[in-house]
Amino acid sequence: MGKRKQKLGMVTGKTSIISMGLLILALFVCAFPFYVMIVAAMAGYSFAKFKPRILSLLFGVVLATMALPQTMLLVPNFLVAKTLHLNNTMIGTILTSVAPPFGIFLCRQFMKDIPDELLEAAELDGCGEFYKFIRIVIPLSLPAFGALFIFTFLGVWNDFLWQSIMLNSQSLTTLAIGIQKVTVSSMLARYSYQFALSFISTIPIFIVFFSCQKLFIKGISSGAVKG
Amino acid sequence: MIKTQKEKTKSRRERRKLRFAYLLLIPWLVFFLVFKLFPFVFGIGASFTDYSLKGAKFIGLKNYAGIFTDDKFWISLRANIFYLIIIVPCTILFSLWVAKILQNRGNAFNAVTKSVFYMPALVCSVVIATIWRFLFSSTAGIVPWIINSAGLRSPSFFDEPLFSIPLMSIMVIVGSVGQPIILYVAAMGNIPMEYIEAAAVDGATQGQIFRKITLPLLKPTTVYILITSMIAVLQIFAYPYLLTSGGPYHATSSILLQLYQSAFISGKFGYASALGTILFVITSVFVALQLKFVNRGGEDG
Repeated sequence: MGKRKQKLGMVTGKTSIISMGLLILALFVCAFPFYVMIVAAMAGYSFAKFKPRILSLLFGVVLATMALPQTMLLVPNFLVAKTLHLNNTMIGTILTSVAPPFGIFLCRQFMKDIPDELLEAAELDGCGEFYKFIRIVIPLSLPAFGALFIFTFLGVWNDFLWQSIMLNSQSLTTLAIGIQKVTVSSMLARYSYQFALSFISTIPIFIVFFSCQKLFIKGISSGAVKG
Repeated sequence: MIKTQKEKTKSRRERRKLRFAYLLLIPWLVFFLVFKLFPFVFGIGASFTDYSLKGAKFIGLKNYAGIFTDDKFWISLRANIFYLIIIVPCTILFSLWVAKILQNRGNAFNAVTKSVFYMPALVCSVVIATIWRFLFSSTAGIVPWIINSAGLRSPSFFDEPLFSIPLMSIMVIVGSVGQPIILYVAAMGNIPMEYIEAAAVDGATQGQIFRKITLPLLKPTTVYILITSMIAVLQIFAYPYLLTSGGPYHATSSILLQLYQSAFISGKFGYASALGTILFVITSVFVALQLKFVNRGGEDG
């Protein structure tokens, strides 16, 4: 037991940059899905419950965005972020994915299923649009939000490519980059450290996943099967 | 047409409702314009210049000419196609098989299996790369050590494309069967039992039922998985970058890796934008071909 503790201490001690990155990332990453949920919920509700044809057109645009490969946008997004002075900041790593098309798609499919009668009844009772949204639509869409939370969390936690492009300084690093430095890019085969670090990095994801598992699976199946 | 008072208030209310809807769309619209539409157009535009850290100058189709005459591009494209050929059919066949098995089991077993197969997708690609490197690295890996101890000379798994491409394909497959399995199980659950029972009554065997009823009804799901897998495989980056750096002279590289190297290592943003545009065109062509092929009633995979 003593030896194991010692090893763990050495890992976290030696990789203090990584543990700092882990902390920052954890705080940040937990807040980010909420922003995503807000944006996606708003857009999803518009596409789900309102009639004008221009909204269908815009939704088609959202779907087209899903097919747009990340490759195409990688360099231009980097240049845009650089112009906005977002490179080398934590915000830059997440800003490009605040309005994920899949998230909007998910919310829209889910919100479409909310019975219109419910909303009409609320309207008759004098509910304004805003209250309808906050009080009825959002609570009823919680399963979609659960799935969205996991997807967003996953996306940010594991997104290696974009993070390594965005962050170049020593002080700002994220988990994926940290692991890469210690494991795959390192010349020494210190497997004990590498695997300890890898294991620690997967714990938060698994916690999130197992707690929202049912929601998550429901979210994936409802998102694509009905499409 | 003169509207009545009631109709006037009604249309005013409708307009107010719509205003709310449009208001809700603003966040998405802002992000879409800034991070999707503008970069898209900008990328295409930049591909016609020699954009680098020193500035930009219009050079017409020189980037594209450079790309098409560069060996690196064709070798990477070939590697990408290998990945495509290996990964996509295996993913679909394997997840179909697992979903078929899951169809006849209880809920608890289903839930556990789905979670187990989904878990690799949750793990960071860096971690998976570490594990496989531990297994197959020629300097410090277990499998070569075992082979060498047995007296045979073990191949260098990450230096020979013959081995590294299938190996990295397996890494990708393991991580990507989770979602198709969930989708297939859900889709199979939607097939009305009457069809299957009717066929069974008419004397069809399990195999015939599967081939003639289940599979065709699964077509939309299969198409979706096919297209999303293709798009994903065309953008493979992590494993070649981490494990082989593109392999012996780009033999295991991918187009995205080429793009990354030319943009962020060589600083040639114009060239990289051209690569990105080319990949976009390739992806669109593949997807369009796929849709056409499927709509003509061809078999999947």
